[in-house]
Amino acid sequence: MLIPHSKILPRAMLGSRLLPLVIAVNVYLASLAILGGLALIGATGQWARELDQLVTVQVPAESGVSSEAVIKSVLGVLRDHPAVAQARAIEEPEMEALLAPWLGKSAAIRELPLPQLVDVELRPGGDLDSLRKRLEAEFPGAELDDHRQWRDQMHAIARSARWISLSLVFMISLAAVAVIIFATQASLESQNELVALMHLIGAHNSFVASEFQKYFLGIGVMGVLIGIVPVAITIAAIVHLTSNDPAPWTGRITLETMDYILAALPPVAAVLITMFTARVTVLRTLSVMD
Amino acid sequence: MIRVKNIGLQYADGPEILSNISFTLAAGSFHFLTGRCGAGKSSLLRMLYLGHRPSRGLMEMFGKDISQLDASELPEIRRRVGVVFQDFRLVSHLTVFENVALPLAIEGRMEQEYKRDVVELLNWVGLGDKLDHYPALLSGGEQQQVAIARAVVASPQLLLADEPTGSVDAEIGERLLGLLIELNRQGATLVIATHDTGLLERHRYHAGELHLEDGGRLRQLPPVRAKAI
Repeated sequence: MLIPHSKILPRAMLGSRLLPLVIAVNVYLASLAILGGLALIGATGQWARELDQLVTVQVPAESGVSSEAVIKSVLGVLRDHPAVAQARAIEEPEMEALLAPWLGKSAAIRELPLPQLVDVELRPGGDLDSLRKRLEAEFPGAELDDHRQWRDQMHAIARSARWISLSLVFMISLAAVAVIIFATQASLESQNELVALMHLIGAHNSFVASEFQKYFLGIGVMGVLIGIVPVAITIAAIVHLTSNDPAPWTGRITLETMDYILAALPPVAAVLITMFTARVTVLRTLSVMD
Repeated sequence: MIRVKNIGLQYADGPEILSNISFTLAAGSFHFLTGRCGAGKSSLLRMLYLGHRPSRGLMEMFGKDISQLDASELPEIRRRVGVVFQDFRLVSHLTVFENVALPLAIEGRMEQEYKRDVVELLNWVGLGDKLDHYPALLSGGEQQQVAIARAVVASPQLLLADEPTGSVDAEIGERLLGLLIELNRQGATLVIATHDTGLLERHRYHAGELHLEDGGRLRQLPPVRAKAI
Protein backbone atom coordinates (compact mmCIF):
# COMPACT_ATOMS: atom_id res chain seq x y z
CA MET A 1 0.00 0.00 0.00
CA LEU A 2 1.26 3.49 -0.86
CA ILE A 3 0.54 5.09 2.52
CA PRO A 4 2.27 3.31 5.42
CA HIS A 5 0.52 2.96 8.76
CA SER A 6 0.92 1.54 12.26
CA LYS A 7 -0.77 -1.80 12.85
CA ILE A 8 -1.45 -0.97 16.49
CA LEU A 9 -2.53 2.67 16.54
CA PRO A 10 -5.92 3.71 15.15
CA ARG A 11 -6.14 4.89 11.55
CA ALA A 12 -6.97 8.43 12.66
CA MET A 13 -6.07 10.07 15.93
CA LEU A 14 -7.28 13.24 17.58
CA GLY A 15 -5.09 16.22 16.82
CA SER A 16 -3.67 14.88 13.57
CA ARG A 17 -6.68 14.69 11.26
CA LEU A 18 -5.94 17.98 9.50
CA LEU A 19 -2.17 17.57 9.61
CA PRO A 20 -1.94 16.24 6.00
CA LEU A 21 -3.44 19.53 4.79
CA VAL A 22 -1.00 21.57 6.87
CA ILE A 23 1.91 19.53 5.51
CA ALA A 24 0.55 19.92 1.96
CA VAL A 25 0.47 23.72 2.33
CA ASN A 26 3.99 23.72 3.80
CA VAL A 27 5.29 21.54 0.98
CA TYR A 28 3.76 23.87 -1.59
CA LEU A 29 5.10 27.02 0.07
CA ALA A 30 8.59 25.56 0.52
CA SER A 31 8.71 24.34 -3.08
CA LEU A 32 7.51 27.75 -4.25
CA ALA A 33 10.16 29.51 -2.15
CA ILE A 34 12.88 27.30 -3.63
CA LEU A 35 11.59 27.63 -7.20
CA GLY A 36 11.20 31.41 -6.86
CA GLY A 37 14.67 31.77 -5.40
CA LEU A 38 16.25 29.57 -8.07
CA ALA A 39 14.42 31.39 -10.88
CA LEU A 40 15.61 34.76 -9.58
CA ILE A 41 19.15 33.51 -9.06
CA GLY A 42 19.12 32.04 -12.58
CA ALA A 43 17.76 35.22 -14.17
CA THR A 44 20.17 37.56 -12.37
CA GLY A 45 23.04 35.21 -13.11
CA GLN A 46 22.17 35.27 -16.80
CA TRP A 47 21.96 39.07 -16.76
CA ALA A 48 25.29 39.33 -14.97
CA ARG A 49 26.93 36.97 -17.48
CA GLU A 50 25.57 39.02 -20.37
CA LEU A 51 26.80 42.23 -18.79
CA ASP A 52 30.24 40.67 -18.28
CA GLN A 53 30.61 40.45 -22.07
CA LEU A 54 29.17 43.89 -22.90
CA VAL A 55 30.68 47.35 -22.55
CA THR A 56 29.53 50.69 -23.92
CA VAL A 57 31.80 53.37 -25.26
CA GLN A 58 30.59 56.94 -24.90
CA VAL A 59 32.10 59.51 -27.21
CA PRO A 60 31.24 63.10 -26.19
CA ALA A 61 29.86 65.40 -28.85
CA GLU A 62 32.30 68.09 -29.90
CA SER A 63 31.29 71.26 -31.71
CA GLY A 64 32.72 71.62 -35.17
CA VAL A 65 33.69 67.96 -35.44
CA SER A 66 31.73 65.50 -37.56
CA SER A 67 30.39 62.91 -35.20
CA GLU A 68 30.15 60.38 -38.02
CA ALA A 69 33.86 60.64 -38.71
CA VAL A 70 34.72 60.24 -35.03
CA ILE A 71 32.48 57.20 -34.64
CA LYS A 72 33.98 55.66 -37.72
CA SER A 73 37.46 56.07 -36.23
CA VAL A 74 36.30 54.69 -32.87
CA LEU A 75 34.76 51.68 -34.56
CA GLY A 76 37.97 51.15 -36.49
CA VAL A 77 40.06 51.15 -33.31
CA LEU A 78 37.62 48.89 -31.52
CA ARG A 79 37.36 46.32 -34.31
CA ASP A 80 41.15 46.14 -34.55
CA HIS A 81 41.56 45.44 -30.85
CA PRO A 82 41.96 41.72 -29.91
CA ALA A 83 39.58 42.00 -26.91
CA VAL A 84 36.65 43.00 -29.10
CA ALA A 85 34.38 40.44 -30.74
CA GLN A 86 32.17 43.02 -32.40
CA ALA A 87 31.30 46.69 -32.11
CA ARG A 88 28.21 48.54 -33.27
CA ALA A 89 27.35 52.22 -33.18
CA ILE A 90 23.96 53.04 -31.82
CA GLU A 91 22.06 54.84 -34.57
CA GLU A 92 20.11 58.06 -34.05
CA PRO A 93 16.58 56.49 -34.15
CA GLU A 94 17.68 53.86 -31.63
CA MET A 95 19.10 56.59 -29.38
CA GLU A 96 15.84 58.54 -29.63
CA ALA A 97 13.91 55.45 -28.67
CA LEU A 98 16.15 54.98 -25.66
CA LEU A 99 15.59 58.54 -24.51
CA ALA A 100 11.89 58.67 -25.34
CA PRO A 101 10.73 57.46 -21.89
CA TRP A 102 12.48 60.44 -20.29
CA LEU A 103 12.46 63.18 -22.92
CA GLY A 104 9.51 62.25 -25.11
CA LYS A 105 9.52 62.11 -28.90
CA SER A 106 10.41 65.71 -29.53
CA ALA A 107 12.45 66.68 -32.58
CA ALA A 108 14.44 68.92 -30.26
CA ILE A 109 16.27 65.85 -29.00
CA ARG A 110 18.37 65.96 -32.16
CA GLU A 111 19.57 69.43 -31.18
CA LEU A 112 20.95 68.24 -27.84
CA PRO A 113 24.70 67.63 -27.54
CA LEU A 114 24.25 63.92 -26.82
CA PRO A 115 27.27 61.63 -26.71
CA GLN A 116 27.62 58.94 -29.36
CA LEU A 117 27.32 55.40 -28.03
CA VAL A 118 28.98 52.24 -29.27
CA ASP A 119 27.94 48.81 -28.06
CA VAL A 120 30.90 46.51 -27.74
CA GLU A 121 30.81 42.76 -27.26
CA LEU A 122 34.01 41.43 -25.77
CA ARG A 123 35.72 38.17 -26.53
CA PRO A 124 35.73 35.83 -23.52
CA GLY A 125 38.73 36.78 -21.37
CA GLY A 126 39.36 39.93 -23.43
CA ASP A 127 41.71 42.47 -21.81
CA LEU A 128 39.39 45.35 -20.88
CA ASP A 129 42.15 47.49 -19.32
CA SER A 130 44.18 47.46 -22.51
CA LEU A 131 41.09 48.47 -24.50
CA ARG A 132 40.33 51.30 -22.07
CA LYS A 133 43.90 52.65 -22.28
CA ARG A 134 43.86 52.50 -26.06
CA LEU A 135 40.59 54.43 -26.26
CA GLU A 136 41.73 57.07 -23.77
CA ALA A 137 44.93 57.53 -25.73
CA GLU A 138 43.24 57.80 -29.11
CA PHE A 139 40.05 59.63 -28.13
CA PRO A 140 40.49 61.87 -25.10
CA GLY A 141 37.15 62.25 -23.32
CA ALA A 142 35.79 58.90 -24.51
CA GLU A 143 34.53 56.72 -21.67
CA LEU A 144 34.24 52.97 -21.46
CA ASP A 145 31.36 51.84 -19.26
CA ASP A 146 31.70 48.21 -18.14
CA HIS A 147 28.30 48.26 -16.34
CA ARG A 148 30.02 47.30 -13.07
CA GLN A 149 27.31 49.00 -11.03
CA TRP A 150 24.56 46.98 -12.72
CA ARG A 151 26.55 43.80 -12.50
CA ASP A 152 27.19 44.27 -8.77
CA GLN A 153 23.50 44.93 -8.26
CA MET A 154 22.63 41.70 -10.09
CA HIS A 155 25.00 39.73 -7.88
CA ALA A 156 23.55 41.40 -4.77
CA ILE A 157 20.02 40.49 -5.91
CA ALA A 158 21.11 36.88 -6.50
CA ARG A 159 22.68 36.69 -3.04
CA SER A 160 19.57 38.19 -1.43
CA ALA A 161 17.32 35.80 -3.34
CA ARG A 162 19.36 32.85 -2.08
CA TRP A 163 19.14 34.00 1.54
CA ILE A 164 15.46 34.96 1.34
CA SER A 165 14.66 31.60 -0.21
CA LEU A 166 16.63 29.69 2.44
CA SER A 167 15.07 31.78 5.23
CA LEU A 168 11.59 31.10 3.91
CA VAL A 169 12.24 27.36 3.71
CA PHE A 170 13.68 27.45 7.24
CA MET A 171 10.68 29.36 8.63
CA ILE A 172 8.22 27.06 6.85
CA SER A 173 10.05 24.00 8.23
CA LEU A 174 10.04 25.51 11.71
CA ALA A 175 6.29 26.12 11.52
CA ALA A 176 5.78 22.55 10.30
CA VAL A 177 7.84 21.13 13.16
CA ALA A 178 5.83 23.14 15.70
CA VAL A 179 2.52 21.90 14.28
CA ILE A 180 3.75 18.29 14.15
CA ILE A 181 4.92 18.46 17.79
CA PHE A 182 1.51 19.76 18.82
CA ALA A 183 -0.29 17.07 16.77
CA THR A 184 1.93 14.30 18.14
CA GLN A 185 1.37 15.37 21.73
CA ALA A 186 -2.39 15.54 21.15
CA SER A 187 -2.38 12.11 19.51
CA LEU A 188 -0.27 10.64 22.29
CA GLU A 189 -2.64 12.13 24.86
CA SER A 190 -5.65 10.70 23.03
CA GLN A 191 -4.07 7.22 23.14
CA ASN A 192 -2.79 7.30 26.72
CA GLU A 193 -4.71 4.16 27.66
CA LEU A 194 -3.35 2.21 24.72
CA VAL A 195 0.17 3.48 25.39
CA ALA A 196 -0.15 2.48 29.06
CA LEU A 197 -1.36 -0.98 27.99
CA MET A 198 1.54 -1.35 25.59
CA HIS A 199 3.93 -0.49 28.40
CA LEU A 200 2.30 -2.98 30.77
CA ILE A 201 2.54 -5.70 28.14
CA GLY A 202 6.27 -5.02 27.84
CA ALA A 203 6.74 -2.35 25.20
CA HIS A 204 9.85 -0.18 25.35
CA ASN A 205 9.45 3.55 24.74
CA SER A 206 11.27 3.05 21.46
CA PHE A 207 8.57 0.59 20.31
CA VAL A 208 5.80 3.06 21.14
CA ALA A 209 7.76 5.81 19.38
CA SER A 210 8.18 3.56 16.32
CA GLU A 211 4.42 3.03 16.11
CA PHE A 212 3.79 6.78 16.27
CA GLN A 213 6.60 7.28 13.77
CA LYS A 214 4.86 4.88 11.34
CA TYR A 215 1.55 6.64 11.86
CA PHE A 216 3.04 10.08 11.22
CA LEU A 217 5.01 8.72 8.27
CA GLY A 218 1.62 7.89 6.77
CA ILE A 219 0.38 11.40 7.58
CA GLY A 220 3.51 12.88 5.99
CA VAL A 221 3.15 10.82 2.81
CA MET A 222 -0.53 11.79 2.58
CA GLY A 223 0.34 15.50 3.03
CA VAL A 224 3.04 15.30 0.39
CA LEU A 225 0.74 13.55 -2.07
CA ILE A 226 -1.76 16.39 -1.64
CA GLY A 227 0.94 19.08 -1.69
CA ILE A 228 2.77 17.99 -4.84
CA VAL A 229 -0.36 18.52 -6.95
CA PRO A 230 -0.23 22.35 -6.73
CA VAL A 231 3.58 22.19 -6.95
CA ALA A 232 3.30 20.25 -10.23
CA ILE A 233 0.69 22.69 -11.54
CA THR A 234 2.93 25.65 -10.65
CA ILE A 235 5.96 24.07 -12.32
CA ALA A 236 3.87 23.34 -15.42
CA ALA A 237 2.74 26.98 -15.46
CA ILE A 238 6.34 28.21 -15.17
CA VAL A 239 7.48 25.89 -17.96
CA HIS A 240 4.60 27.13 -20.12
CA LEU A 241 5.37 30.79 -19.42
CA THR A 242 9.10 30.49 -19.99
CA SER A 243 8.75 28.55 -23.23
CA ASN A 244 5.93 30.54 -24.86
CA ASP A 245 5.98 34.05 -23.46
CA PRO A 246 8.55 36.30 -25.09
CA ALA A 247 8.23 38.98 -22.38
CA PRO A 248 11.66 40.10 -21.20
CA TRP A 249 11.11 39.07 -17.57
CA THR A 250 9.55 35.66 -18.01
CA GLY A 251 11.84 34.97 -20.96
CA ARG A 252 14.78 35.14 -18.62
CA ILE A 253 13.32 32.72 -16.06
CA THR A 254 14.94 29.42 -16.86
CA LEU A 255 14.91 26.40 -14.59
CA GLU A 256 17.45 23.63 -15.09
CA THR A 257 16.98 19.93 -14.28
CA MET A 258 18.90 20.45 -11.01
CA ASP A 259 16.44 23.21 -10.06
CA TYR A 260 13.52 20.81 -10.41
CA ILE A 261 15.40 18.25 -8.32
CA LEU A 262 15.93 20.90 -5.62
CA ALA A 263 12.24 21.80 -5.81
CA ALA A 264 11.47 18.14 -5.10
CA LEU A 265 13.39 18.34 -1.82
CA PRO A 266 10.54 19.83 0.27
CA PRO A 267 8.25 16.80 -0.26
CA VAL A 268 11.03 14.40 0.74
CA ALA A 269 12.06 16.64 3.65
CA ALA A 270 8.43 16.97 4.77
CA VAL A 271 8.08 13.20 5.13
CA LEU A 272 11.37 12.91 7.02
CA ILE A 273 10.63 15.92 9.25
CA THR A 274 7.15 14.60 10.08
CA MET A 275 8.44 11.15 10.90
CA PHE A 276 11.41 12.16 13.04
CA THR A 277 9.65 15.03 14.80
CA ALA A 278 6.91 12.61 15.87
CA ARG A 279 9.46 10.03 17.05
CA VAL A 280 11.50 12.53 19.05
CA THR A 281 8.35 14.09 20.55
CA VAL A 282 7.03 10.70 21.70
CA LEU A 283 10.39 9.64 23.13
CA ARG A 284 10.79 12.93 25.00
CA THR A 285 7.23 12.87 26.34
CA LEU A 286 7.50 9.24 27.49
CA SER A 287 10.90 9.76 29.09
CA VAL A 288 9.41 12.56 31.20
CA MET A 289 6.59 10.21 32.25
CA ASP A 290 8.96 7.35 33.28
CA MET B 1 10.42 -16.66 41.77
CA ILE B 2 8.73 -13.69 43.48
CA ARG B 3 9.99 -12.51 46.84
CA VAL B 4 8.39 -9.54 48.53
CA LYS B 5 9.64 -8.27 51.88
CA ASN B 6 8.26 -5.42 53.96
CA ILE B 7 7.07 -3.43 50.99
CA GLY B 8 4.82 -0.43 51.29
CA LEU B 9 2.86 1.45 48.67
CA GLN B 10 1.61 4.98 48.65
CA TYR B 11 0.49 7.17 45.78
CA ALA B 12 2.11 10.62 45.75
CA ASP B 13 1.90 12.10 49.26
CA GLY B 14 -1.20 10.10 50.23
CA PRO B 15 -1.46 7.56 53.04
CA GLU B 16 0.24 4.17 52.73
CA ILE B 17 -2.24 1.79 51.06
CA LEU B 18 -0.16 -1.33 51.62
CA SER B 19 2.10 -1.68 54.66
CA ASN B 20 4.88 -4.15 55.43
CA ILE B 21 3.70 -6.73 52.93
CA SER B 22 5.82 -9.88 52.74
CA PHE B 23 5.23 -13.07 50.78
CA THR B 24 6.89 -15.50 48.43
CA LEU B 25 5.46 -17.05 45.28
CA ALA B 26 7.16 -20.25 44.21
CA ALA B 27 7.39 -21.10 40.51
CA GLY B 28 4.28 -22.91 39.30
CA SER B 29 2.26 -22.14 42.45
CA PHE B 30 -1.39 -21.03 42.55
CA HIS B 31 -2.73 -18.33 44.88
CA PHE B 32 -5.89 -16.44 45.45
CA LEU B 33 -5.51 -12.82 46.46
CA THR B 34 -8.40 -12.01 48.75
CA GLY B 35 -9.63 -9.21 50.95
CA ARG B 36 -12.46 -6.81 51.34
CA CYS B 37 -13.30 -4.37 48.55
CA GLY B 38 -10.81 -1.51 48.86
CA ALA B 39 -8.32 -3.61 50.81
CA GLY B 40 -5.71 -3.04 48.12
CA LYS B 41 -5.94 -6.18 45.96
CA SER B 42 -5.76 -4.26 42.70
CA SER B 43 -2.88 -2.13 44.04
CA LEU B 44 -0.92 -5.24 44.98
CA LEU B 45 -1.57 -6.76 41.56
CA ARG B 46 -0.53 -3.48 39.96
CA MET B 47 2.78 -3.74 41.80
CA LEU B 48 3.21 -7.32 40.61
CA TYR B 49 2.71 -6.36 36.99
CA LEU B 50 4.98 -3.36 37.55
CA GLY B 51 2.30 -0.78 36.90
CA HIS B 52 3.64 0.85 40.02
CA ARG B 53 6.82 0.18 41.95
CA PRO B 54 6.70 -0.17 45.75
CA SER B 55 7.44 2.95 47.73
CA ARG B 56 9.71 1.00 50.02
CA GLY B 57 10.90 -2.52 50.83
CA LEU B 58 12.34 -5.32 48.72
CA MET B 59 10.55 -6.76 45.71
CA GLU B 60 12.46 -9.41 43.82
CA MET B 61 11.06 -10.82 40.59
CA PHE B 62 12.79 -13.50 38.57
CA GLY B 63 15.96 -12.88 40.55
CA LYS B 64 16.03 -9.11 40.05
CA ASP B 65 15.52 -6.38 42.64
CA ILE B 66 12.83 -4.23 41.09
CA SER B 67 13.79 -1.08 42.99
CA GLN B 68 17.29 -1.25 41.49
CA LEU B 69 16.09 -1.56 37.89
CA ASP B 70 16.22 1.30 35.44
CA ALA B 71 12.93 2.19 33.72
CA SER B 72 14.31 0.83 30.45
CA GLU B 73 14.82 -2.62 32.08
CA LEU B 74 11.20 -2.98 33.24
CA PRO B 75 9.75 -4.08 29.86
CA GLU B 76 11.85 -7.26 29.93
CA ILE B 77 10.34 -8.18 33.33
CA ARG B 78 6.84 -7.20 32.24
CA ARG B 79 7.08 -9.57 29.28
CA ARG B 80 7.38 -12.44 31.75
CA VAL B 81 4.11 -11.42 33.41
CA GLY B 82 0.69 -11.97 31.83
CA VAL B 83 -2.18 -9.89 33.14
CA VAL B 84 -5.93 -10.35 32.86
CA PHE B 85 -7.30 -6.94 33.78
CA GLN B 86 -10.61 -6.60 35.55
CA ASP B 87 -11.83 -4.25 32.82
CA PHE B 88 -10.25 -6.44 30.08
CA ARG B 89 -8.46 -3.46 28.48
CA LEU B 90 -9.00 -4.76 24.98
CA VAL B 91 -8.08 -2.38 22.19
CA SER B 92 -11.32 -1.44 20.51
CA HIS B 93 -9.88 -0.76 17.04
CA LEU B 94 -8.00 -4.06 16.90
CA THR B 95 -9.59 -7.38 16.00
CA VAL B 96 -9.67 -10.36 18.35
CA PHE B 97 -6.62 -11.78 16.55
CA GLU B 98 -4.73 -8.48 16.74
CA ASN B 99 -5.58 -7.99 20.42
CA VAL B 100 -4.28 -11.42 21.33
CA ALA B 101 -1.18 -11.03 19.16
CA LEU B 102 -0.33 -7.65 20.69
CA PRO B 103 2.31 -8.95 23.17
CA LEU B 104 4.02 -10.85 20.35
CA ALA B 105 3.99 -7.82 18.07
CA ILE B 106 5.50 -5.80 20.93
CA GLU B 107 8.24 -8.41 21.26
CA GLY B 108 9.04 -7.60 17.65
CA ARG B 109 7.93 -10.90 16.16
CA MET B 110 6.57 -11.03 12.63
CA GLU B 111 2.95 -11.99 12.02
CA GLN B 112 3.83 -15.00 9.87
CA GLU B 113 5.85 -16.36 12.80
CA TYR B 114 3.03 -16.28 15.32
CA LYS B 115 -0.13 -16.44 13.24
CA ARG B 116 -0.58 -20.20 13.61
CA ASP B 117 0.05 -20.13 17.39
CA VAL B 118 -2.43 -17.31 17.95
CA VAL B 119 -5.12 -19.01 15.89
CA GLU B 120 -4.51 -22.24 17.79
CA LEU B 121 -4.76 -20.44 21.13
CA LEU B 122 -8.00 -18.72 20.11
CA ASN B 123 -9.39 -22.08 19.02
CA TRP B 124 -8.44 -23.45 22.44
CA VAL B 125 -10.30 -20.68 24.30
CA GLY B 126 -13.26 -21.16 21.97
CA LEU B 127 -12.99 -18.05 19.81
CA GLY B 128 -11.55 -19.62 16.67
CA ASP B 129 -14.51 -18.42 14.63
CA LYS B 130 -14.21 -14.79 15.79
CA LEU B 131 -10.68 -13.89 14.80
CA ASP B 132 -11.74 -10.87 12.78
CA HIS B 133 -14.36 -9.61 15.20
CA TYR B 134 -13.88 -6.37 17.09
CA PRO B 135 -14.26 -6.41 20.89
CA ALA B 136 -17.46 -4.36 20.78
CA LEU B 137 -19.17 -7.26 18.99
CA LEU B 138 -18.25 -9.78 21.69
CA SER B 139 -20.10 -10.69 24.87
CA GLY B 140 -18.53 -10.00 28.28
CA GLY B 141 -17.42 -13.63 28.62
CA GLU B 142 -15.88 -13.63 25.15
CA GLN B 143 -14.04 -10.40 25.88
CA GLN B 144 -12.70 -11.99 29.05
CA GLN B 145 -11.56 -15.00 27.02
CA VAL B 146 -9.72 -12.68 24.63
CA ALA B 147 -8.10 -10.96 27.62
CA ILE B 148 -6.97 -14.34 28.98
CA ALA B 149 -5.65 -15.40 25.58
CA ARG B 150 -3.69 -12.14 25.33
CA ALA B 151 -2.28 -12.64 28.83
CA VAL B 152 -0.97 -16.12 28.08
CA VAL B 153 0.02 -15.89 24.41
CA ALA B 154 3.64 -15.04 25.17
CA SER B 155 3.92 -17.92 27.69
CA PRO B 156 4.43 -15.77 30.80
CA GLN B 157 6.00 -17.20 33.95
CA LEU B 158 3.64 -15.25 36.18
CA LEU B 159 -0.05 -14.94 35.38
CA LEU B 160 -2.12 -12.35 37.24
CA ALA B 161 -5.90 -12.12 36.96
CA ASP B 162 -7.96 -9.39 38.59
CA GLU B 163 -11.51 -10.61 39.29
CA PRO B 164 -11.55 -12.75 36.13
CA THR B 165 -15.02 -14.10 36.85
CA GLY B 166 -16.47 -10.89 38.25
CA SER B 167 -18.35 -9.77 35.17
CA VAL B 168 -19.54 -13.08 33.75
CA ASP B 169 -22.15 -15.62 34.81
CA ALA B 170 -21.20 -18.63 36.92
CA GLU B 171 -20.93 -21.11 34.06
CA ILE B 172 -18.63 -18.94 31.95
CA GLY B 173 -16.74 -17.98 35.12
CA GLU B 174 -15.94 -21.64 35.82
CA ARG B 175 -14.88 -22.16 32.23
CA LEU B 176 -12.53 -19.12 32.38
CA LEU B 177 -11.14 -20.27 35.68
CA GLY B 178 -10.58 -23.69 34.16
CA LEU B 179 -8.49 -22.05 31.44
CA LEU B 180 -6.34 -20.25 34.00
CA ILE B 181 -5.87 -23.41 36.11
CA GLU B 182 -4.87 -25.33 33.00
CA LEU B 183 -2.19 -22.72 32.30
CA ASN B 184 -1.02 -23.05 35.91
CA ARG B 185 -0.72 -26.80 35.40
CA GLN B 186 1.48 -26.07 32.41
CA GLY B 187 3.92 -24.24 34.69
CA ALA B 188 2.79 -20.62 35.05
CA THR B 189 2.57 -19.16 38.55
CA LEU B 190 -1.01 -18.01 38.99
CA VAL B 191 -2.39 -15.25 41.20
CA ILE B 192 -6.12 -14.56 41.03
CA ALA B 193 -7.55 -11.57 42.85
CA THR B 194 -11.14 -12.28 43.85
CA HIS B 195 -13.76 -11.47 46.43
CA ASP B 196 -15.78 -14.55 45.38
CA THR B 197 -15.67 -16.75 48.50
CA GLY B 198 -17.40 -19.58 46.66
CA LEU B 199 -14.62 -19.71 44.14
CA LEU B 200 -12.05 -19.76 46.92
CA GLU B 201 -13.86 -22.57 48.67
CA ARG B 202 -13.99 -24.73 45.55
CA HIS B 203 -10.27 -24.48 44.88
CA ARG B 204 -8.78 -24.18 48.37
CA TYR B 205 -7.19 -27.61 48.22
CA HIS B 206 -4.74 -26.68 45.53
CA ALA B 207 -4.51 -22.88 45.85
CA GLY B 208 -2.79 -20.85 48.54
CA GLU B 209 -4.18 -17.56 49.73
CA LEU B 210 -2.78 -14.08 50.02
CA HIS B 211 -5.26 -12.33 52.27
CA LEU B 212 -5.15 -8.58 52.56
CA GLU B 213 -6.42 -7.37 55.89
CA ASP B 214 -7.73 -4.00 56.90
CA GLY B 215 -4.88 -1.57 57.34
CA GLY B 216 -3.10 -2.85 54.25
CA ARG B 217 -1.36 -5.82 55.85
CA LEU B 218 -1.15 -9.26 54.26
CA ARG B 219 -1.39 -12.80 55.54
CA GLN B 220 -0.10 -15.67 53.38
CA LEU B 221 -1.89 -19.01 53.79
CA PRO B 222 -0.88 -22.30 52.16
CA PRO B 223 -3.39 -24.53 50.34
CA VAL B 224 -5.76 -26.33 52.71
CA ARG B 225 -4.67 -29.93 53.18
CA ALA B 226 -7.34 -32.46 52.25
CA LYS B 227 -8.59 -34.37 55.28
CA ALA B 228 -7.64 -38.05 55.35
CA ILE B 229 -10.70 -40.23 55.23
